Amino acid sequence: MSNEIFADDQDGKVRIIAGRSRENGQIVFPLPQGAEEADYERIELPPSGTLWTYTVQRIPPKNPPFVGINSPDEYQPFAVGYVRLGDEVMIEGRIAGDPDSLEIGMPMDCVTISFPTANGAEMATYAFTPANGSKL
Amino acid sequence: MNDVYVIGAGIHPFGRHEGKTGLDLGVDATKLALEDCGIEWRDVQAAFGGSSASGNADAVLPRMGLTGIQFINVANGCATGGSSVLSAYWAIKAGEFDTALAVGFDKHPRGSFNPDPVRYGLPQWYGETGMMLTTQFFAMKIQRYMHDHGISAQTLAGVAAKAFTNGSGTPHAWRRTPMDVDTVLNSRMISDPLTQYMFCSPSEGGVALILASEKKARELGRTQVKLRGAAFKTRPEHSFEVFSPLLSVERGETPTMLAARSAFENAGVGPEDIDLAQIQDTESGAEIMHMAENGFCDDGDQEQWISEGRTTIGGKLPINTDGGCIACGEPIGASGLRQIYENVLQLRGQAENRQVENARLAYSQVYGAPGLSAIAILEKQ
Repeated sequence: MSNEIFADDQDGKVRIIAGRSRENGQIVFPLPQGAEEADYERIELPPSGTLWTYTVQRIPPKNPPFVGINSPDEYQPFAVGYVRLGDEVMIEGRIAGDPDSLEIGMPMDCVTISFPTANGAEMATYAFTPANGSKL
Repeated sequence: MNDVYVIGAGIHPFGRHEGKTGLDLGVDATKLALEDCGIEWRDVQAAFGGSSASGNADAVLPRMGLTGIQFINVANGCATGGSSVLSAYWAIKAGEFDTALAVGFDKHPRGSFNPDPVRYGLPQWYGETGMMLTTQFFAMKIQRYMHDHGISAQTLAGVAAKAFTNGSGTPHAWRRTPMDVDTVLNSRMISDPLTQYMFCSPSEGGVALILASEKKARELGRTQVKLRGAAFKTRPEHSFEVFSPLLSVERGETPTMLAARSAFENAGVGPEDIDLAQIQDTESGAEIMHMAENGFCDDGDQEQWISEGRTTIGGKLPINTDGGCIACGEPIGASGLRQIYENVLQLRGQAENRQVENARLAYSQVYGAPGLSAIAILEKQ
């Protein structure tokens, strides 16, 4: 994944990059590439929000399409959820940290994570994590 | 417009069948459906069929006979079977044909489905990072629904336990051993809040239905089951659907809500008139949410419905009388057709020890990725 999906802002916060339709103002994610791209203005979403729903991927996803380590012995479960960023949209992403600490409605920050892949490389992606010291 | 009847129904039991291909299961089901209504293959004028993992459905043709029949292959995710039968329904209703076959079969590898992101118009990273799983969507949808409407994990388990009870009395079901609520609750967590036995599994099976015009059905003396109404809808704006990297904050209606309204209008009946229902239970959360989306109860009422056993056989509205996807498993091409097969047996009074007494109107709803729902309402004549 490249900086087309997320950007590190000057203040050190991670912002997800989306597109706003030049025709109807609707936000789309990811920002379309290629022929569709011209119809969208590149925008950055707010770097924090609240957790709308989540689950935990307790069993290893199949490869393909998953590239992370998925052997039963080494697999590390991770959470996935939707975080409301701003007044218009919710974005789906992996959630970093302890999956058992999550609660709907809790404040979340956008971050970047890197996880080891089955072929020995690392893959970077955006993710969410409970906001520092957050309390419901 | 012609009235449409379901005159023949055949099934190859669901489950795992070593030594048989998916196509074999489809051919077996087709032969049984023809036998059921007493017509020959050459009498079938049109066919619609689908398979997700076992090749093109029209591969049944050399096995059944190359009669020149119009055969259209259908591909609509988990709603493929429902889409095939709707296509046959419209074709006969329009007066173009007097007989049509809807057939579906499949044989999936073990474990969860692993679709290719590109086929859904999504970037590769969506799958590479571990988000291309239907199970996550089902879990996240019911997780939010439980939060909003006070549904308990106990109720999720109750739905699965009912499925295994019903499946134990169903010859075509795969999982035929009853299981209690605690066993379901304590089975391995797959995707919170859903445990292993709350989920259906990809499986193998084949179903064929023969539909006919009123004229043909009368000629054959096969007017017991009429297809009173049907509808098919794809997702509207603001619906929460599978494989969505973004959702709008505004929450809207679902494809099932749209299809249900349309099917009830088409059939001229309401949810309160339905005597039994087969609704998509990819996992127990889906059955709970679909109870409300189809209009059978209000959001949150499921907690009481399940605890009072209202959806069991003998209850106010028996749901998934053959154990549904949870007990039968899900061969994609055949799954929606199985629901209608079960309703046909119920309305003919052939459902043996799982028979719903005095049933007149039977409802079926199948949901598929990336957000579509197909409904059929059958009526006993």
